[in-house]
Amino acid sequence: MMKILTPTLMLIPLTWLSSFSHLWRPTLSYSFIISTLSLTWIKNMSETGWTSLGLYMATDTLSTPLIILTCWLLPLMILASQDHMKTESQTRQRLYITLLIFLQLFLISAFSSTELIMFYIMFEATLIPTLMIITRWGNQLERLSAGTYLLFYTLISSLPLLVALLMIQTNTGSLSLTSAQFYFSLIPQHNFLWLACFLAFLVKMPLYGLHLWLPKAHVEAPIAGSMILAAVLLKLGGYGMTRISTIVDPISKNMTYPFITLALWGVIMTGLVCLQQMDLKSLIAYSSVGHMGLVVGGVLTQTSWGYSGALILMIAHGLTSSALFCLANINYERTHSRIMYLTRGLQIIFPLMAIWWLSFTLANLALPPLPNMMGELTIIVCMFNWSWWTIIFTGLGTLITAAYSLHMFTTTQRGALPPHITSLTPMNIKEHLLIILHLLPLLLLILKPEIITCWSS
Amino acid sequence: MPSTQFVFFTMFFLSLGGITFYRNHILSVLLCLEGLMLSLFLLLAIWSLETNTTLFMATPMLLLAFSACEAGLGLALLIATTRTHGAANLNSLTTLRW
Amino acid sequence: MMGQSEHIAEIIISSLMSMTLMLLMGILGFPIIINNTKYNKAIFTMKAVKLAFFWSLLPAGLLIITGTDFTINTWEWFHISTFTIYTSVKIDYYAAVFLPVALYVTWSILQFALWYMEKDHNIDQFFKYLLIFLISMIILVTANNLFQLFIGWEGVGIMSFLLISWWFGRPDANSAALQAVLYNRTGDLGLFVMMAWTMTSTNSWELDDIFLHSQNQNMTMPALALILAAAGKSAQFGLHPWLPSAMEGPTPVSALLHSSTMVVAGIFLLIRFYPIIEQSKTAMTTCLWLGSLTTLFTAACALTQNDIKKIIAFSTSSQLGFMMVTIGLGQPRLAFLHICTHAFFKAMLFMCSGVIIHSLKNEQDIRKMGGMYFLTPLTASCITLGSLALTGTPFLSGFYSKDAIIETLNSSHLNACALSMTLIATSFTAVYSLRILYYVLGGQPRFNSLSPINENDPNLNTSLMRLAVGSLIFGQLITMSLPPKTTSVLTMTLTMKMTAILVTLTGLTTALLLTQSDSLHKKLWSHLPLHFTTLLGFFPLTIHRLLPKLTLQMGHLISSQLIDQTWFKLLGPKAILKSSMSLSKYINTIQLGLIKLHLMSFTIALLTTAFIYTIMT
Repeated sequence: MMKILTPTLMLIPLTWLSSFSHLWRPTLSYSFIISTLSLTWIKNMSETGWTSLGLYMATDTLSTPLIILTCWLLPLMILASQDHMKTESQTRQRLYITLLIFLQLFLISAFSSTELIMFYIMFEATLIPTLMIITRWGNQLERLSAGTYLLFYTLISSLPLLVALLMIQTNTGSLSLTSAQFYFSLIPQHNFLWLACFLAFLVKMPLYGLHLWLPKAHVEAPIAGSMILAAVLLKLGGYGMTRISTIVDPISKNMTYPFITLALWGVIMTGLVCLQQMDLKSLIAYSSVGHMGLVVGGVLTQTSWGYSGALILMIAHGLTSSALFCLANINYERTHSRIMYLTRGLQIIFPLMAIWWLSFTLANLALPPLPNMMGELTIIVCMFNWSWWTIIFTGLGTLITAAYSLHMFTTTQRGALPPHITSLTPMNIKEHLLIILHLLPLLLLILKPEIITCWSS
Repeated sequence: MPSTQFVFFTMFFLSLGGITFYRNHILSVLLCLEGLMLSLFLLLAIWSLETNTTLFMATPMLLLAFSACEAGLGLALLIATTRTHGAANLNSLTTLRW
Repeated sequence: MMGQSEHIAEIIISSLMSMTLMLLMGILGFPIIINNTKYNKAIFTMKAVKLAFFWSLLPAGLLIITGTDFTINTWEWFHISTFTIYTSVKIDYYAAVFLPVALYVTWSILQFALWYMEKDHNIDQFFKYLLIFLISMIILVTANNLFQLFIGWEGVGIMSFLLISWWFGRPDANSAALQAVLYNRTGDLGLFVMMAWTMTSTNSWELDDIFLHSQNQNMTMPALALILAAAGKSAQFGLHPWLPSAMEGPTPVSALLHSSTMVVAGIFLLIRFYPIIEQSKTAMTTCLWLGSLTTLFTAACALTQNDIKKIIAFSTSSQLGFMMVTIGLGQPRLAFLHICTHAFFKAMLFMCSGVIIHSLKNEQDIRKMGGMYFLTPLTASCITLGSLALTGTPFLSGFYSKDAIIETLNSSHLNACALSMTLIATSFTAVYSLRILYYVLGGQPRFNSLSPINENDPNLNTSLMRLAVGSLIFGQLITMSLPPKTTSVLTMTLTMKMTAILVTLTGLTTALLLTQSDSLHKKLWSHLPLHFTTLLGFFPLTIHRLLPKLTLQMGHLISSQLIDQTWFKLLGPKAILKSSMSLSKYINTIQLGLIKLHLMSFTIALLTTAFIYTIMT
C-alpha cells in the first residue's frame, strides 16, 4: 500500500518545487508510473479474502479494480486539463494539480481502508477538493449553486451514517471490515439504522429521487472535475453500499423494496430526460444517473450476481462516462458551447474523432462483448431472479438508452455541417491519446473480465 | 391548587403579562409593575399571616417601600421621556436596542 | 464398437472442421488490419471472402457425406460466482449449410459492390464494414451459447446502423438507421427475457443444456420472448417499418443485410430454439398468426409502392412472414431451406435493381423506368429469373422450399384463416413481381434519353451470373443431397398439390388483366384500399408520430420539467431552503434586541416552569 501512497504524496512537492516548464509532463509521467505500479495488485483473484494487508489498509477483489481505476484516472485528468489551464497563472496551475493529487490520495485511502470510520473520513474528505475544483475553475455562473448542491446533499445524508457507525461501535466494539463476519450479529436490527447506513451511499450513487446534485455538479465542473466525478466519486457510493450491506444483513430484505423500485424507475425517467436534452454534458450526466440506478438495483438485491454485475458495470461505466466527458470537452474547447445542435455534423471534418464517438456511444448503449454489456446483463438477470416484473423496466431502459445514445451520436457527428462552423482547429495527438487511453482498458477487459467480477472462485 | 395560591399565581402572571405584552404608553407598564409589586406584597403578607410570624417578618413593608420608590422612579422616567421624546411611547426608546 | 480407423477419421474430421473455422476467422479478419492502397483493399476483401467460401464447403461437404456435426467448447471466458461462460461453436446442419450460402452470396455482392461503389472515396471502409458485418453474422450462426449469439445479434444490428447511414449527410438515412436500431432493440427485450429465464431455471447459457433441462417445464414465457426477439430482427408485423426505411442504404447493403443475412437472423434464432418453441402451443399459434399477418400485410403494401427498392424490401418482409408461418406449422427445416433459397434470388433482385438505378442516374421510381428489356438484357434476364424463382416456378430453387411449405400448409389441421391469408399473400407475390417486370422491363422508356446505361463491367456480369446459377440449381442440389428430417404428407388431392401454382397463376392473370384495362380512366369507388396500401396501412403515419411525440413529451414535460425541476427541487433543496429561511426569519424577530421580546421569553419560561411544577406536585 505504501508503495502507491507515498509516491502519490510525493507528487505534491514535485508540483510545487519543479520549474514551470517542467510542470505538466513530469507529473503526467510519474502518475502513469504510479498507475502501472498499482496494477501489481491484480493477483490471485481466486481468493476472496484480503491481500496486501497493512495496519489499516488492505485490498480485496472488490476494491482492487476501483483503486486501479482511480490511479489510472489521475494521468488522464492531468492530460485533459493541460490545455484549458494554459491561461492561468503558475500558482493556480500548481494548485489545480495539487487538488487532483489530494483527491487521488483520499480516494485510494477510502477504497483500501479496513476501518469503517477511516472510510467515512476519506469519503467526506473527497468532497473538499471536488468542491474547490468545481467552484473555482468551473466555467459558468451556476458553478456556485452546483457546489452548494453537491456539498449539502452529500453532507446531510452522511451525517446519519456517522451516527450509525458510532452506534455500531458502541454495540459491538469494533468497526473493522476484516472481522465483520464475527460481530455483525450483535448489531441491533432496526429500520432506521439500516436507513442511516445506506442513505449516504444512495445519495452519492445517486438514487433517482436524490440525484439533483449530479447534473449540476457534472455540467459546471471543468473537465478533470467531471472525469473524476463520473468515473470514481460515484463509485464510492456503490463500494460503500457493498461493504455495509454485509454488516446490516437480515433486515435488508424488506427495506430494499422501495429503493430498488425507485432505482429502476429512475433508469427510465432519466433516459426520457436525456432524449429531450440539448446540453451535451447534461445528457451524459443524466445517463450516469441511469446506469448507476442499475448498479443500485444490483447491489440492493444482495446476491453474488448482483455484486458482480454492479462492480463490472461500475468499472465499465467509469471508463465510458469519463471518455464521453472528454469528447464533449474536446468539442467545448473549440466552440465554447455545450449545445449539441450548434456542434453537429462533425464527422465530415473530424473523421477519426467520429470513430471515438462511435466507440463510446456503442459502449454507452451496452454493446456486447464490452464489459458494459456484461455488467448490465448480469444485473438484468439478477433482478429478473429477484422479481420477474423488473425485466419490463430494465428492457425499456436499454431501449431508451440506445435511443438517446444514438441520438447524441447522430446529432453531434452525422448530418450536414452547419453553416456557422467555418474554422475549427484540428485535433491534436494529446486528445487522441486521451481517448485511446480510455478505450484500451475497456477493450482489454473483454479478454479477462475476471479482474472485475468480484468474488470469483 | 388551593385557591389562595391560584389567586396570587394568576395575579402575578397577569401583571407580568401586562408588562410583557405592553401597549405603547409607558404608564400602562408602570401600572402593571405596581400590580406585580402588589401581588408580591400580598403573597408575603399572607405568608407571614399564615405562619403567625407577623412580628418577625418585615419583608412586606420593605417590599412596599421599595415599590413606592420604584413607582416614583418610573413616573420620573415618564416625565423625562415625555420631555425629550415628545410622547411617552415605548417604541421610541431605541437606545436600548443593540 | 468403433474401429481404430473410424476413431482416426473422427479426429481428422473434427480437427479439419476446427481448422476451417479458424481459417475463416483469420481470413475474414486479416483484411481489416493490412494497409494497402485504396481499392486494392476492397479487391483483397472480396478475394478473401471467395477463399472463405471454398473453405466452408468443407464442413458442408463432410456433413453431406458422413452426416457429422460438431460442437467445440474452447475457452473459459469468465465466471461470475459459479457460472461460467465459454466460447463455444456449433457446426450442425443449419450452420454448415448456411455458412456456404452466406459466403457465396456475400462474395457475389462484394464483387458487385466493386462496380457499384467504384466512385465512392471510402470504398475500403465500406468493404471493411461489410466484412465486420459478415463476421458478426458468422458468430451468430455458429454460436452454441446464448451470450455469443447475443454478441453476433447486437453486432449485426450495429453494423446495420452504420451501413444504412453510409451517406450520413442525408437526414433520411440517419433517421432510417436510428429507426432500425430502435426496432431491433425493442426485439432485444425478448432476448433479455430468454437469457434471464434460462439463467434462473437451467443455470446455463449453452444450447445443449437448455434443451436438456427444458423437457417438462412450462415454456411459454421463453418461447414468446424468442418470438418477440425474432419479430424485432425479422421485421414481423408491429416491428416492421424499419425494413422499408432501411432502403436508404446503398444497394449492396440492402442486398446483403436486408434480404439475405441479417433479417433472417430472427428466423434463424427460432429455428435454433425450435425444441423450446414446439413445447408451447401458444407460441406455435403466435408464430402462425404473426407470420401470416405479416406476409399478407406487407405483400399488400408492396402492391402499390413506386420505389423499386421498397417493393423488393416489402417482398423480403413478406417472405420472412412466410418463414415464420413455416415455423408455426412445425417445419423448421423447410423454413431453413427457404432462408437459403431466398438469399439467392433476393440478393440477385437487389443487385439487378442496383444496376438499373445506377444506369438511370440514380432513378428509383418505377414510373420513370421502362423498356430496360432491350437496354440491359443481362439484368433483365436476371430480374425475370429472380422473380420467377420468388413466385415458386416449378424446378427453380424457390420452388423446392415454397411449394413444400404450401403443401404442408394445405395438409395441416391448423387455423384455416391463417392459411388462407398465406395463400392470398402468395398470389400477391406474383402480382407485385409482375408489377416490377411490367414497369421496369416492359413498355417504352420513360426516362431521360442520355442515361448512362452500362452493364459491361466484368465484376457486374460475373456476380449476377453466379447468383443466377445459384437461384437455378441450389434448391435441387440441397433437396437431393440432404434428406428432410420429418416425413411430409405424401398423398393429397390434385388441387391441393397444385395450390401453389394455381394461386400464383391466378395472381399473375389478374395482374395481366389489370395491365390491359383502362384503369387510369376509371373512377375508383373507394380510395381507401389504395391509400391503405400506399401509406403502408397507416402504420408509420400513426405510430411514428404518436410514440415519439408521447415519449418526448413525457420526457420533456413530465420527467424533466415537472419532476426534476419542480418536484424534486421543491422536496429537496427548496424545502430545506424555505423551512430554514422561515425559521431563521422567525428567530430573527426574537433577536431584534427589543426588551419586549426578552421579557416575553422570560415570562413564558417562568409560566411554563410554574405550571409544570404545580402539575407535577
